[in-house]
Amino acid sequence: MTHERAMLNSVPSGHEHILDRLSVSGRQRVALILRQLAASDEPERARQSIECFLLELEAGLTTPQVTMGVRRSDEPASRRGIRVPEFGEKLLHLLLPKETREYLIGDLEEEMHTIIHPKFGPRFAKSWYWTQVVLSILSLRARFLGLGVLALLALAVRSLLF
Amino acid sequence: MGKEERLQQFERVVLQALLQLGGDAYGMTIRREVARRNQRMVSIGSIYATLARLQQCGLVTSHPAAASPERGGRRRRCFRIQASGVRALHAANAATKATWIPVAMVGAQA
Repeated sequence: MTHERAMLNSVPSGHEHILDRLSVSGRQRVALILRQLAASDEPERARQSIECFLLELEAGLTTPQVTMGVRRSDEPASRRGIRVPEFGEKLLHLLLPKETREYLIGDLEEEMHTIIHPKFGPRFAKSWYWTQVVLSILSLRARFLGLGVLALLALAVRSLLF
Repeated sequence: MGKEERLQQFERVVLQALLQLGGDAYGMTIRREVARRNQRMVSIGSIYATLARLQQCGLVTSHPAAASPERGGRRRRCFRIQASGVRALHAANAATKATWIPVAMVGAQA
């Protein structure tokens, strides 16, 4: 979170107002993209890429995924209805192991936007996304959840006995 | 008993998918290939859990790849099967063949 804030603070002057239009998840996405762009070996090129990206974002020329964080009223009508369920994404952020989080969320988002939504429509895409969220948490956090259940059982037994 | 022979069915399918997809295999493509082979829904989480196990065994390697806009600027993690993975797959398939009894023979014995 602090890393994200630091990344967003590094936005070149004169471009800060662009970030004001974005929601929390939108800012998270922008921070991720900025991190990618800043990772370039040539600092001057990285600076140009960041400026170019921010200008595109302001002009609404970026991809739907990037502008998904823009408030609903600012979105073009054609892009509505294909948002990734925000709560589901937050659950994944919260519960998945750090080492797979970014890749797994990216995979889900890519498949939802490029295959599931165009083929089956927004309703099915959302239910598909939620199914994947629940099953993925169960698969990757089975031991963690099992320990949680055991702890709850132990507490229940203790409260019954003492 | 070596780790090749302890490969579970799902791990075997994931390794086969990696072999089929070659160097461009990443979460989404692997999930789709495994779902196609299994003819049922597969969660991306189970794919990552299996890949982590295979990576721990040294059968698979991975490296982060560039981000793309359709992923909301997130990076991909590309997976590649190692020579040890191919050997493990061959050994597991050979073990299955060795213990396989045709259904017709079972019927005749009964």
